Amino acid sequence: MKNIIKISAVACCVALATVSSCNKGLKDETFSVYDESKLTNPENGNQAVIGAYAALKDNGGYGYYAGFLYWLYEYPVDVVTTTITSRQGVQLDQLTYDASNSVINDVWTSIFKMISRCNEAEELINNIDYATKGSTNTLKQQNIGEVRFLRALAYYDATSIWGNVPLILKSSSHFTTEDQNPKLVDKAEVEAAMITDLEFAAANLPESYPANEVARATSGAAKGLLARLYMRRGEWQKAADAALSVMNKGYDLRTKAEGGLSSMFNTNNRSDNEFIFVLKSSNEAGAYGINSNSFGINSTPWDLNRGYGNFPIHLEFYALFDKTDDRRNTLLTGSYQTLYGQTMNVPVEYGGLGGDAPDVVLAKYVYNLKYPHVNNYNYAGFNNVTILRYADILMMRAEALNELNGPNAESISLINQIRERSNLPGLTLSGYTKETLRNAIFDERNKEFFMEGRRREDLIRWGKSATNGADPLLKFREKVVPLLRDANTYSSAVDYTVFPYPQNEIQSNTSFSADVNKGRVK
Amino acid sequence: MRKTYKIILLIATGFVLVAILLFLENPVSNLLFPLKIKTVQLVNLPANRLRFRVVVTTNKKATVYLKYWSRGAKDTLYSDASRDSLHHTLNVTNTVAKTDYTFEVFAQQGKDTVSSNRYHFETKPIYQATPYFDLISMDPSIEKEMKGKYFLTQILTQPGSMVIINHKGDIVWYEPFSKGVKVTNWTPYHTVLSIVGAEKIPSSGGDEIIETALSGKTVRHLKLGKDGMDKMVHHEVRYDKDGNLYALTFDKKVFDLTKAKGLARDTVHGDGIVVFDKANRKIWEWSMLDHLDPLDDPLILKHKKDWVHANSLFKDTDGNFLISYRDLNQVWKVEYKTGKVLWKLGAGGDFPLKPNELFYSQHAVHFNAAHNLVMLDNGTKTGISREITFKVDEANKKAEALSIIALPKEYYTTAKGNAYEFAGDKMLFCLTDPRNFLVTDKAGKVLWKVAVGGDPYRLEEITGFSFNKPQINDNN
Repeated sequence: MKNIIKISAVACCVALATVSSCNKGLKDETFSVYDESKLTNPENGNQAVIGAYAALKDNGGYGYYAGFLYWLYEYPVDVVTTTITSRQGVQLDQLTYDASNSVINDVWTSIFKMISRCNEAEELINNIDYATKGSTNTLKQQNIGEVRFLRALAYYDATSIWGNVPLILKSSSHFTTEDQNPKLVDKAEVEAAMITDLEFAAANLPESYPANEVARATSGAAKGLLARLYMRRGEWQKAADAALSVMNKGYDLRTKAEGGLSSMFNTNNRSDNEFIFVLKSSNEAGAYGINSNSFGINSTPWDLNRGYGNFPIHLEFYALFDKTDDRRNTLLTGSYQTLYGQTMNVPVEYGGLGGDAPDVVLAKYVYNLKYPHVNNYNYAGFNNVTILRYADILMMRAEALNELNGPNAESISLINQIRERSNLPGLTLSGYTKETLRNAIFDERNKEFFMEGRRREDLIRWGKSATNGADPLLKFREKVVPLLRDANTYSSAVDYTVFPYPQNEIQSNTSFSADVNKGRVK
Repeated sequence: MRKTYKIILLIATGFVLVAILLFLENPVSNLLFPLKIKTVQLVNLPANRLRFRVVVTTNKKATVYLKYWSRGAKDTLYSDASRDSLHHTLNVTNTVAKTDYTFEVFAQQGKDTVSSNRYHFETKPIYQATPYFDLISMDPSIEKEMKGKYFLTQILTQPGSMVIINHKGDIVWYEPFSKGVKVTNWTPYHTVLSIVGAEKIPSSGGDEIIETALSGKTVRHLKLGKDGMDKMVHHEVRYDKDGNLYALTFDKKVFDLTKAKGLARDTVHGDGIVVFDKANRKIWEWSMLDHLDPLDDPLILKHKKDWVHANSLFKDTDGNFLISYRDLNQVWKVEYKTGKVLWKLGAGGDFPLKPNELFYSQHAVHFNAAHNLVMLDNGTKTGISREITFKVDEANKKAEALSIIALPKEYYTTAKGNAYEFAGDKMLFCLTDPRNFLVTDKAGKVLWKVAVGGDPYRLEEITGFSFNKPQINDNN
């Protein structure tokens, strides 16, 4: 027992000595560094939203809606052609493009850049407590609605151009290894995500904005895009309903009294309640490459006002119009005084004034005046680029109703609003079958929306409707092939409803198989 | 068996004793469980290039502070201190840009002091809202005296900023705003009080009053249309000794100006004074439009948009206000209780003045510690800006200039600026037009000069900006 006490005493002394020796000099704290996120204010949420809008024109100039998207939508079809100097443009125009076409690659990059910005913005906004930081939850929902609208728009274009595409709906901070090389997702699944986004946007966006925020997405824009999506999917009742929900919501057609359609495209007319969603940009020197679009300088010909004439229009298109049609007479260069003093006229056989040398030169092409090269600074144009306008809502509803139940008075009256605004007589209900009215609608759409990026999709939808979905390319083939320089460039083995995936993506995304472009190129 | 009981009893008693010993703070428990710094977390604040936060946890309640120094410098700086807690948030608030600092955390409890390992942080270049401040010259005679002095100024253009510089003109603290910071004031609570507003609001006016702590936290925020703030404020915002805020306001009143060929209902814009209590409620208001007849001004139609232009406000120790009117070249004393104008000093005022004592478009009028009235006489009549200190005998309406420092012509400023007594026998000037800060002696000799890359409104010396090593009571 004595031993035990002795041992305990020694042990205690040793323990005390050990503990006390640790008292000074032992520095074993853990050290860490972290960055406080400064993006925690509602103001930062708004900045993220504006950043997402800016993605609409990518870096400006030609990016996405500022140009290249329209190359894909307009060149391959029957109205607009190209100048021979643009190799990428000629490939698209003459259907000789392949996966290495730089414009296809450019639009792909722009679209997924915008999707990425929207995803990051959504995450950022979700993490900001608007209500306790002097803002409101309503504004938070609006901001989320805006980026979800923009994301749906980007996916709309992506699926229009490529069909199946990768579907990414989350911020990169949540990416798994698999998300680094996203797989192609079935178009229907992408569309279901778009519908969810658009329904959220329609419910949370305001009907209008103050004058200094007119370019922001409204609930009308979300509903209008939803209508466009249902049209593409052939869901006519839903399309007709969605179109109807945009009507009587403060939008109307720009009337003849207001100057008609051409005045809407005037560069002095910065906003109009026929516009539902447009790309706004700046004409300031230096805006090119940042915040401009180059539609102005590319649309008009050199000898009119030193434009580059990169969107020449076939005279056959000019010939489609009635001679009294304001759209022909005010939005196409049918007759003008050139910089060199001559008159440029469309030949008589195409419905023009014709004439003889030396005073008159006969035009080989006409050019659109929807993007007038006026008030612009070189490439820095501030023309409104229409993404959605009210006339389209009316025409969509007219078409959807016709597809549902054949011609009726409402469809005719909707079409006639468009016709009468442009100085044309109205159609009458009698004498139209579902098919002939459908043809009349697509002809009317062509004349109304040329150079607004709608024609390619219209031809595909027309083909689908006319063949009950059996031959989506029927109308495309019928309209496009006769205008090709060599009819043999058209191949029945190629599905022209979709473009090839860009070579860059195939090379960098390991989930893409080598034959992913099979049937998309010759 | 009894032996076993004894041993158990002994051990139990031992445990109880040890438990009591450990529970009580004493050398034995400190020996067994010494004070320790458990974690040190450096928080980068990307929104501010100079500021850092360090979060520390200790195993026992202690006073914790940070010691830091830049590489190669002899100066030791300290953070604020966190007392009697396990979790500590410390703020590094006195740094210069683009500098590598080393820091060490100290925890202290009673006589026990422990320190952490040494860590680093690096300040970034400031590009927001901060034009340059360049030390042009410093007289060797005041170098020693200037060391350790700090000055508060502001950037009134957009984006604006509150700025604190050291004696070398280095920015050591700033807080940026998207709007302009029109005027700042260093409070007795060691915070920065300011008027913030869009650049386009004239007369150093703003729609917000913001008080910011050195840690960057907004301590107090008044906004037009909220709480008691129903008018925009301008030129001046300060605390009185009761913790109320006072400021100048824009006011307007409808007069019959037909005699001056104006309208029967014509609006005259003038100035007022407002006082807000601690809850931001308006508790007092005064308007010069109740005390001056616009028809006395033959050019009232020309002046009615900004009549007589008040530009500084100071609450005297007697509780009454000193208000400066630029366009009248007068300083008024307004009684707080009644709102009555007690006297007017200046051209045409109640005090006889010698010709060289008359001032023109004066700014920043206040009483100094000796209760003499100090102002910057911008001198718009003479083209010479001067500091004037008046000895004022309020009862007998006698005023006499004790000191006049006339600055060389190159330092003339048409508007804004201030002159404050500095280090007893010197003067500190902010001169807006020439964009200079000066320290002069009583004869006007320039001893210290800083050039500013923007438009400053005011410059004041501040005390208590730099934290000292905390004094810790050993008997806590």
